Amino acid sequence: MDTSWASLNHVGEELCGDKVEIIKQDENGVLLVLSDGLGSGVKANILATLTCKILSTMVAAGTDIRDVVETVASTLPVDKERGVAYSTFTLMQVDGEGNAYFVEFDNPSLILLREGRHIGLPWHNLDIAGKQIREARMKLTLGDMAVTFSDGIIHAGIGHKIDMGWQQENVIDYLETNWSALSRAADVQHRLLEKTFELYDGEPGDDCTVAALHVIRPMPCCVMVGPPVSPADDGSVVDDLMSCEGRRVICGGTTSQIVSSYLGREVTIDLDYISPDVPPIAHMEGVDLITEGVVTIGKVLELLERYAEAQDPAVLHRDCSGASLLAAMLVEECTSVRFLVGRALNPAHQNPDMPISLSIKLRLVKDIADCLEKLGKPVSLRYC
Amino acid sequence: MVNVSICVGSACHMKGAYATTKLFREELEKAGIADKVHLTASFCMGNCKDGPCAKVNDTLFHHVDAGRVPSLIAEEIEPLTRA
Repeated sequence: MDTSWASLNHVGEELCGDKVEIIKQDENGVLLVLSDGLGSGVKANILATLTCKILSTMVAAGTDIRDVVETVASTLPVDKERGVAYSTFTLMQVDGEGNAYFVEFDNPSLILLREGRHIGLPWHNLDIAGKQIREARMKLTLGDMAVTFSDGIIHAGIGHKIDMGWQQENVIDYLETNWSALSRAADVQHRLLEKTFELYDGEPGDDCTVAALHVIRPMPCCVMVGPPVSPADDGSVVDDLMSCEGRRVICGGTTSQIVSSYLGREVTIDLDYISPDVPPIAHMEGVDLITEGVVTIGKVLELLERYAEAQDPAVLHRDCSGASLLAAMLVEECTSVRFLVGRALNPAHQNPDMPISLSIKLRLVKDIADCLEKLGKPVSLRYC
Repeated sequence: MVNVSICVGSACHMKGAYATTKLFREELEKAGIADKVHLTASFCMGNCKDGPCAKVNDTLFHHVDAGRVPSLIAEEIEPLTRA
């Protein structure tokens, strides 16, 4: 499952009153909750955060939805001005086999697209703690895209560009019409929020959040960074890299030479710099991408952090340097990432003139791993 | 054909391999010997402290920054193309 979400804050608010929580379950399953707290700003943020946390934690633990909703209803603090405790939610839980469980309360209804067309869900209603809840169970298939959003999306343009706002049917129509450009969950959230921002004339009158879940084939990625401390481990680390049935990446000149020597395959390095800031990439049969080490991974971290902030895929495609290619691969193609982190010191770097140290490289890899986890990618690290 | 390889590994990159690479292309054209030189890139040549490094056939040269490129071509590479 590939997931992506982002928000636009109500104009003038520092905090968003919507919240999304994503929990990875089993190897390929995922649980996603979107909640919209009453009002905007800090109070709404607290309501939405509580709702998301309670729902995701309890449902992930297998608690019946009735008990979960009752817990939420009795936990949310009552708003002093309005005298109510209120927060909407949409929950999507999909296992690795595509078995999906959807629950929604007062959010705009979830949109499910199959081959670019909206299909209905087998909803049935529940009355829990006086709240009208809808739940549906169904089997998803490869390529299905489930999209949920807060009501800030369908309020966009109300009384201004569109009399009744950008209604549910308009959103469905927009997604169906633009389906060919929406190949990933990140495209869906980005394009919907972009359109919403435009309809609000750049000043959203409500918090706006979009979360998308895309059923895709698992695409693991294995990145070997740096030579192992003990040369005796070279073979097992290279075997680990080559056993990956997805994308294989090598970062580091010496590291690529180790792989080349162990596999008996030639490395050819591009002479052309795509960007003056990032050394050229190299090629080897059976490896999808080879880059230089510490400079490139430093740039990859910068790109991932900018992407996480802006949620704009264009950030990853400014050029075709090794850093952009790797960042785009990690974000857009891979569903999980494994880093094989070599901790050998490069003797040539051990002098006062050289601003490269092992600790910097290890820090960068750890920061990249943290950033990818925040983007919803399961990450594992093997230090060697 | 003379083989010239420029190191574009981490350390040499930080010490100016980008400018070295760019200037090598321009100066080989200017000297009229671009078709007699096989110019390639390489990752670490193991002499990071003295980068940027370049190899002319099997001879390793240190501190090949942009300022050193014209003399390296004139003194080391051009004679080999006539050999």
